Amino acid sequence: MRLKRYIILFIVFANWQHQNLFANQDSIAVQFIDTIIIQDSRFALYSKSNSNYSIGSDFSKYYTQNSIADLLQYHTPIQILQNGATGVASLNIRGTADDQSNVFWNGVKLNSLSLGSADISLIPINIAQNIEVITNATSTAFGSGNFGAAILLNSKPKFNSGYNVSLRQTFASYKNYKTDFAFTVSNAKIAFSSSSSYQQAENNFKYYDRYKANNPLLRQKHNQLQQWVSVNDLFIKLKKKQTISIGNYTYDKDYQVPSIMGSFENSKKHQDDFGTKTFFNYDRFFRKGKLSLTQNHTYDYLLYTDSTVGLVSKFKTHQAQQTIDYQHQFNSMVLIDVGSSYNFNFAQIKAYKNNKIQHRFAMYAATKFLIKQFNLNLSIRQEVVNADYIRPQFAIAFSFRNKKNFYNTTLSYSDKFRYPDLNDLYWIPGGNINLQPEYGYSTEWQQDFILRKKQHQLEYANTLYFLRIKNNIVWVPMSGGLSTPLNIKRTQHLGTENTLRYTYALKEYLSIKMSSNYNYNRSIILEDKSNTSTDGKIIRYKPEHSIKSTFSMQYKYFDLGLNYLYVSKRYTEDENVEVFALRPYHIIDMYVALKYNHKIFNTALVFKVNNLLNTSYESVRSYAQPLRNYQLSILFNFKSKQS
Amino acid sequence: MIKQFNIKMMAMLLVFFVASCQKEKNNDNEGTYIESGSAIVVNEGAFGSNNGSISFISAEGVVKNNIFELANNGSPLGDVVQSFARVGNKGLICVNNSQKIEVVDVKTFQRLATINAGDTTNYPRYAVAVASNKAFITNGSGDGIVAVLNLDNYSITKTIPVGDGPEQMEIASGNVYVCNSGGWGVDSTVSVINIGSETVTKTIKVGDIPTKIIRDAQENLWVLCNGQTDFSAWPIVKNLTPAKLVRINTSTQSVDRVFTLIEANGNTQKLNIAIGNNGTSVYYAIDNDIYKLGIDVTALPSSKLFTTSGIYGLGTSYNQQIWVLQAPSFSSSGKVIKYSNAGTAIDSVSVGIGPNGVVFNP
Repeated sequence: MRLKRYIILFIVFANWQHQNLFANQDSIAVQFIDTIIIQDSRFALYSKSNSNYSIGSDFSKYYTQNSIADLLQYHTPIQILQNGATGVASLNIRGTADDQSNVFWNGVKLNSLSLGSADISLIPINIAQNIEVITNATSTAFGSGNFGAAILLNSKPKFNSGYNVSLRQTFASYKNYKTDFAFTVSNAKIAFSSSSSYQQAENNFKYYDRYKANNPLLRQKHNQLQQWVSVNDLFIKLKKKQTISIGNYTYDKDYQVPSIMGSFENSKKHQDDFGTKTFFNYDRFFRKGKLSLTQNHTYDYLLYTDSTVGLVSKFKTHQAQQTIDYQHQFNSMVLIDVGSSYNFNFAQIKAYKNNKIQHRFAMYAATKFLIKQFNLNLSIRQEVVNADYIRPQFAIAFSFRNKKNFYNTTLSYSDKFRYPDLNDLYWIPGGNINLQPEYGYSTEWQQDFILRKKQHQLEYANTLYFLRIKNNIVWVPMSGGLSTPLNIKRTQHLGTENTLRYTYALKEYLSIKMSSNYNYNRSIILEDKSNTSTDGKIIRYKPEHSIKSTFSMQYKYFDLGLNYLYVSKRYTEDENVEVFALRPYHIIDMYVALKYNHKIFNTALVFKVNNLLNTSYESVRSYAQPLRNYQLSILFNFKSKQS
Repeated sequence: MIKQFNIKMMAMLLVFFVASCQKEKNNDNEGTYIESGSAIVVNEGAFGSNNGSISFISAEGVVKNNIFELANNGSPLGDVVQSFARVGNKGLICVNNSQKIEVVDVKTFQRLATINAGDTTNYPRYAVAVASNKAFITNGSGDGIVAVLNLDNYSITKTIPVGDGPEQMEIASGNVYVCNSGGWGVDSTVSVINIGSETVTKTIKVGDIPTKIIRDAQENLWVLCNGQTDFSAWPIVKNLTPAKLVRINTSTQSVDRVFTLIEANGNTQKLNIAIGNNGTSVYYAIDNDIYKLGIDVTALPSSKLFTTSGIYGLGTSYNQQIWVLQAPSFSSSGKVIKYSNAGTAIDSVSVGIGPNGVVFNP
């Protein structure tokens, strides 16, 4: 009985902040399963006081052909920059750079060790059942590189669900075919899930090339893609209040890199990305506490070739991480968490000349005080990289929620830092081993209002944020015609994110969901020591305004949905020259689905139109994007009666 | 009567003189991009961003950026604008990574044609006028060619194989001299092409990696050879082979002067050259130090003329100014800093991204 009481206390703590505007059933981070708690990594615990955007699996079923990039693009304030339809896709959050946000899969960091950024075009929709975007993510919890946000991709086991087998085949424009297979099986003690997909595409879409005289309509060449992904998770409940979770995510993306617009020659560039990521997690529950041990490993391989110039560039990196973490519940008001992590990083990259090894060690602690409707979080972290001490990190968050759960507000402050990535340090020629970490801080004030009446729910959330970063690393020309990275820039990012969401649900056969998200961001260069004329100018590729709206309706056997995206003008260089600015654009996607549900199987036929308005636009300057295109998916799902 | 006649004659002469002056002042080129004393600055832009551009600096020093876009309804110029050359009343802009040559009206910069002729113009570097309607264009990062461009019908009429990675060219005594840099490899020669026969008549051995060439008042040529670079001891970068300034006597078509700028195993530094003082002085830059060299000397000067910063290109104007082109980064504007020929800073203006060269209008 006492154990059960403490378990309930855990749940209270973990969920107290989680019932925010964006949370839905899929986003609950802690599940109560018999007498065992399976909790997400400590990341979630540290972040409960910050605003976060959760996307449940019900959204993802209509993005079958895509990576999580499109999902994040429409359902969160995140801006995605993609080099063409299949190229590298990077995160731009609150005006920060792509290497200033992190992506984690069940605690495994997916950012490239050499580049610092995460290529989210490599991350499939089926990697996780729950996606959370933690804005104002604390460095105390997430370590290096969270100026923008931390994105958590978490698996969610379902025990006692029997088996479930699903098969999906998608046909899309430009000879784009994708096959998905997923299998889950579970009983009271074990839950196993496996999903895999294979995709191949010609991607020879048409586009207007505004970099050529008379803006001709051309067909993309040298843009083929082959990609496969496999994701496997196993969750085991052992005796004596212990759990084990193991997972592996392996992918290979092999694709041609097309020429940029304006070119006359076909590109001869090619890129192959292969990676395998594994986590092992052991949890042991005590009378008042919980001990977690994790072991993660990632291996990344990248081969980039350009036969025009005889370039062959190979990257091989390993990251191994061990963490030990202990949470202790003193009473109903106080929880502490202490832990440490050790990272062993290894890079075998020809351009570094020698193999590079990096050791990272961190100790951290956090405490939560819960007094009636008030919540206070305090956390600290000390990290050491090789022999370099990172400035101690500190974070604080204060929250209030009214008793009827109508109003919820959080005010938070967080220190931030980013250690230079390996290319910045070791790339030859250019790398600078004397680089300092980027440092900064952010503050955020978040408010949620929720109105519920019978079948109606209206929610509004507003977030104000302010972020400053110094020592920004910028590659600048140097003697000998080379470039080298230097800590020469200071930037400031402020803005507001506003979301209005309405949900109507009438029994099981009708539901309507609408949401609209408006973001204002002003990210400017405060100082650039290499060029004072950029002071006060807007940072390139950071739009001041963006709007994301979604509408979905489910009626009996039909689903209908619309997604809308607006991105305002973006400058593409640091002096805000209008000639080089990218014009604003609007994109609308639409889908309609026909469904049939049976006790042991269900099926769906989904038709989707992307870029309904046939907009010619550029996500990244010079990279062509497809005009209107179509996809058709057929889904079969078989399940045991108990699932 | 005679006096009245003289007065009338004087009045008529005065009117004629004034009219002549006005005619001279209102010549066809004023207000165009070839007005006397003005300059065209080539800004290569950031690789892969299609933001290369051309800036115009008037004789009075007024800057107009992005003149190609302004003259062509905002149409972007392209990716990595390598060079500009005037051929008669046309201008040739080599846009390296867009694999094209834009032909413009030199007065207005309105596009006349876009030339892409497959392998013959897939890596254009520099152009030089060999007739009022004909130009030679260096092309290739590996096996190099010089493409012969007919500007009447915008066709490539011939390709002339030269060394690897051909770069700048210069005309002297009826021949075109081509620097063969090696491109992604190493070359150390200058090819001599007879303009009439359009064939290579001689290959002259110079130093490793010749990239820039200028002609002096005595019709001799000065070739800047960067030497091979060794990055293995990074962050220390050494020259594996010497960087040299080589003079070619065009009468004998042979090297008659060799000046070593950086010794083998010396620290690698960025090099530039320009010809000034009506062809009687060679200005060269080692990193940020500018030196002045007489065209008949046998030894390098012992002291520098002046020191500047961040040189990305170098030019000398017809009024004997030394123009230093700066590229502080490839995400923001470059600068042109004008110096007197004694090394005194006169003026500074902002141009496009990555200015790498300047062409002056006589």
